Amino acid sequence: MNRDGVVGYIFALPFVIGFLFIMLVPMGMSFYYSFTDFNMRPEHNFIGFYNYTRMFSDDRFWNAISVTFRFVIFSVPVRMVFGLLIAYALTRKYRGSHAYRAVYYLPTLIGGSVAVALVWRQLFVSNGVVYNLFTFFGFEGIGWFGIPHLAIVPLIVMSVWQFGAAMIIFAAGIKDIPESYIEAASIDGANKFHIFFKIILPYLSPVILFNLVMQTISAFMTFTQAYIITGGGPAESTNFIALYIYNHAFTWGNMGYASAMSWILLLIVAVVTFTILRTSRRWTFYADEN
Amino acid sequence: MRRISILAHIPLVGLAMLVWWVLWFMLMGTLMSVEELNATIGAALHDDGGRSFWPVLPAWPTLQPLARLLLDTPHFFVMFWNTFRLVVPSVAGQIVLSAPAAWALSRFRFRGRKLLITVYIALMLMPFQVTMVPNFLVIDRLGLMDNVLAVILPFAFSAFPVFIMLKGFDAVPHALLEAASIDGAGPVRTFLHVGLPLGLPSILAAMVLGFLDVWGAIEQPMTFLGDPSAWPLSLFLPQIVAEELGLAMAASLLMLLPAVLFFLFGQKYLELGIQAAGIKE
Repeated sequence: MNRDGVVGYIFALPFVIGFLFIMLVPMGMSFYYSFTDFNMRPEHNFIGFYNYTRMFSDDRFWNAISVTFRFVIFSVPVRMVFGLLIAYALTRKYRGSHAYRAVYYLPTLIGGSVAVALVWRQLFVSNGVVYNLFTFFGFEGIGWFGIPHLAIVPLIVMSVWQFGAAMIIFAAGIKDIPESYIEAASIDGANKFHIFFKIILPYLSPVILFNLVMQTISAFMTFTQAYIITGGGPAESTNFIALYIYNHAFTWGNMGYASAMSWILLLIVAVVTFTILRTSRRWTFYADEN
Repeated sequence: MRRISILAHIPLVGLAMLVWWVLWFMLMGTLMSVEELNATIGAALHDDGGRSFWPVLPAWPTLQPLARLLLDTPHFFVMFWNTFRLVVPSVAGQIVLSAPAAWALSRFRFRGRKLLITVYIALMLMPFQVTMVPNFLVIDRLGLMDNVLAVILPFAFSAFPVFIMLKGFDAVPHALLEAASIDGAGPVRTFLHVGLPLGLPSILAAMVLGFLDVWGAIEQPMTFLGDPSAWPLSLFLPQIVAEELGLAMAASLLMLLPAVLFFLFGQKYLELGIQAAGIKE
């Protein structure tokens, strides 16, 4: 082996060793436990695929999956459109454009925190501020968290509110588009609308793909909002799969079942990511290709 | 730099207000007395049919909740200290472990390098719940339950900082490394004197994101730390809100302080980190 290789191993070794113990070994264990009835007591039985078949007849599991998909499908695209439009609005350098960008992503930075989740709950609760804002303008007040099919709405709004990370990534991507392209187009008489759809969007497509994949994966993992704001209710209408797994593992002690569900969640995320990547070949363009 | 018309600022300012609305409420909640809080937003909590609203400005601004939090709530400081006890070692561990690993992945061509990078990315994208159950099992086996190490270790070996730094180290020009090796610098010296200084922006970016990540973490401490006296601020907050609204507002505000400070003074690194990691929540 060459000298480079040895040095490389030595540099990476501490991390890799710890990583194996903290990640890979536990993952192996969880795979094993997903075939057992392990519930934190030392003795456990091998029960084959029971945990996996159990999922099929577990209505609460299917509900959690469908709630999570609903959340992902509504929150991710809206958040990305917001991020993209605002990034585009702020691309031209003018006084204050940088400050605006900064102002817009602070919520993203703090949005995942417990503190914001708490305030959010107070805003949308029955008789809360949003409720009274509605009645003030003559609409019917809605106690968002009391109505099963509406309880997810404040959570989606909160997620869209945190469009900052997407915006930052889009802004960096737009900055990389050569100014000459846009200038040439505007000399040819293209308006802003054209420039956006004919130049910016195709050029940005790899960045859109990157954003879409990362945002989708993180949306599937959503936990804090549901845990703090709704606790999964009412009637399990916000019982995201991450929360359901957490409760099975740590509230009810069904480690085996929770492990099996974790693997299915991983499978789902992998399939979704793979699907996005597969279809992306049709809508992403790389600058050096053409 | 050119100016835009006042008219163009209107939607931008409007959006800014929409986005900051929630934060403004939090700040105002901190400046209200207990009586005023109960009379305004309190109704939403008590569910006694009263109307709750959030005043744009408090009628009688007071620092009462903040003073109470800082002067009469000693356990608040314990929680603050608990948070630091988790954050500082986690971030320090991330840097000490990840920087050499990222350097190795970026600079040395060794067997298994490609595989390692693939595994990192795959694990980084893995839902937290997938790794949490197994983490719990191992931490339990190691007898680390209720020990701060149970929270610190998984963070310290997180793959995100490696990924962020990898991008930074990749940008270090090859010519500089060759110059260093011609000058007789060994791999360690090259790393310390060329790699670290040139990769500093990405290291700082990883630190800032790592700090915020651990600072706001609730799942890990909640799962691994059974003893409430060891709980960080992030777990303390949901506990107090029901009984003490003003206190919760003030504590929430202090909880957000580091994020705001990083935002004000480390914006460059924050944006760099967000671009490299793809997400920050």
